[in-house]
Formats: sequence, C-alpha cells, structure tokens
Amino acid sequence: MLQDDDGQITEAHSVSAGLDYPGVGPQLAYLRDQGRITVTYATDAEAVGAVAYLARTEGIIPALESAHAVVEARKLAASLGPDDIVLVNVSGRGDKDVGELARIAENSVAGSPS
Amino acid sequence: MTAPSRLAATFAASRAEHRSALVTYVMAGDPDLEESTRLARACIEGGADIVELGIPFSDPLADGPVIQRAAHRALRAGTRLGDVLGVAAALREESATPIVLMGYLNPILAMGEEAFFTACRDRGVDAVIIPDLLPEAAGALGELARRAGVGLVFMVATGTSPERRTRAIRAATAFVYLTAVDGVTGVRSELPTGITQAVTELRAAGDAPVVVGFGISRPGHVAALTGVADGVVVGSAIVDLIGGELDPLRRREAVRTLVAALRRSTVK
Repeated sequence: MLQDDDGQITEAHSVSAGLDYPGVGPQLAYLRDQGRITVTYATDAEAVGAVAYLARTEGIIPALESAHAVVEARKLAASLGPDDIVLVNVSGRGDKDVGELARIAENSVAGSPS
Repeated sequence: MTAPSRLAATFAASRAEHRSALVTYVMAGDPDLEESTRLARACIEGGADIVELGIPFSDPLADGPVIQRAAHRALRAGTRLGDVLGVAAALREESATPIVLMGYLNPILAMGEEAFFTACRDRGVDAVIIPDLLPEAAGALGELARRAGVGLVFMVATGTSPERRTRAIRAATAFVYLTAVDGVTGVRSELPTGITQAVTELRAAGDAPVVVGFGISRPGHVAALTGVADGVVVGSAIVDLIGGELDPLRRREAVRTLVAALRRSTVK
C-alpha cells in the first residue's frame, strides 16, 4: 500500500482509472519479491502517447492501463535484436478511454504547446 | 470466552436491570484531542455504560459519511494512534467505565501489534473492535490480545452463515458485534425486523455477550432493542451532533442531553 508511517493510506494518481489505486495485489507483490517479475512504470504522457502509437501502427486502441505496457515494450525492444520476440498483453480496450483522451487532447491544444 | 472484567461486570449489571448496556461512540481527535476527551466524558456524564472511541483512519471501509468525515477531521487535526490511547488513559484516570476502541487494521500493524495491545492494557482499554479483521485471520493477533488481557470483538451480520457465526463467537473475547443493518455505519430512520431473532440465535450459539450497532440512532431504536441484546451502540447520531455544532459548550451539552435520552430509553 501507499501509506505513511502511521499506516494511513495516501493518495495515488494515474491518468488511467485502473491504476489510480494506492495498492498492489499480494500475488504481484509476491512474484516481485521472488524476483520472478520486474515491476516498472510509465508516465501519464508516455501512456497517452502509446495509445496513439499503437492505434496508428496496428489499428488497435489499447486501454490507458495497457498502454503502459506498450511504453515499456518499446523501451525494451530498442535493446533487442530483430529476431527477438516481445509479447505485450493488451489487457483492455481503449474505447472506454476516448472521452479521457479527447479531454487530454483538448487541454494540450488549449494549453501548453506540448 | 469470558469478557475482560470491567466489561463483564457492566454487562452483568445491566442484565440484572433487564436492560441493554448503552455504548456511545465518539471519534478520538474530532474536532481535536482535548475536545474529544471532553465529549467522551460528556457521554459518561450522560449515562453511557460503555465508551467507544474511534481510531481515525484514511479508508474507514465500514463507516458511512458521518464517521468518515469525523475521521478526516481527526486526521487533519494530526491525531495518531498513540494519541487515541492517550485519550483512553485520560478517561481511565477518572472513570471505571469500560473503554472499547474501534479502528482498522493498518494503523495497528504500522504501530506493531504487540506494542498496540500492550499499550491498550497499560492505558485501560478493555477491548478492541477491528472491522477488517476476520475471525479466521485473527491468529497471532488474537493471541497477543489475549496475552495482554485485552478483548477482541468480531462482527457478524444478520445474514452471516451459522458456521461463520460460530467462528466469530469462538474467536471473540469481549463480545460479538451484530450489525443491525446491512451496509455501513450511519443514521437510519427505521431498523429492519429480525434483529431480535438474530440475537436469540447468537445467544444460543455461544456464551459471548451480543452487542448490536449500525443504524441505531434514536431513543425509540434503543427502546426497541433494550433487554434483547447485551448492549446497543449509538455512533453516527452523536458524531453528527459533534460535527454540526461549533460552540464547544453547546456541543458538549447536546451530546450529554442525547446520551441521557438514549440511556433513559434502555429502561423499560
């Protein structure tokens, strides 16, 4: 859990609703402690960018949650050879996120040039 | 299992008067530590048989909006678990009224289970209600509480299966807490039927005292349950008064008046 020294749960943040949660399940925590999985992260901007990337290159709109995995896959692929195989689990569909993506796109047009 | 002695004596005394013990809840640290101590004292002055102190927690999963807001007020005021134990100690110095803490597991784990139960014993806390601790999972925690002589309370609902009900009764070392309504704590205008039946079944399944809470907010609710259960808990109705009155003197007087009315309703 994300928590302070008193055991009070602290606020999480993520652009994807499914990751906007201050805890990790016991199975994942155990696998990580066993060294069997590596846990990493992507920023909100990277995840939003990966949605556009996968839509453009594969015609697949991933959920914002799954887009985090696409970010990591691209980073990993840069260090691999042409015959290596990378498998990405696109665990959810992004049509549920188009409202949020449109809101982000509007804000970036109206706001900063980034 | 026998209840810690102060609680057992209180239940025996109210039973001898053919009434339920009145349990009143205030959140420790709401609006601040000193004032919450005075409000708990006002409950005792109003005639509460048992004082229940809430331990503020960021994610109080069994509590409705009234007690959630009280928890957030207490946390904003900087209340920590050690401070809650301090409130208990201050009350214990001046009164023999049983004190029960109600709080969630995570802050207890953060303090350390053994340190927590030792502090409970030293500060005069009689029992602890941990809504997110299941009797099946109590294990080492139950053993630490038992060694410290601090009672543990487990919750059952009217819909709990007989098997789980029996496990809760066996694991409980202070009393069993029957939730009168399904859902979270909070004021309800009416109580569901079937509580008397559920209490009767719990009594038949073991010898732990049965205390009923959740949704009990009016003197009429207390009057309907007195003599049926060993105790009745009123929480949100008191906490709501505390949250709604900013003048300390009027706030304490309002709490004292409500508790006195509830206490009168325990007498048939």
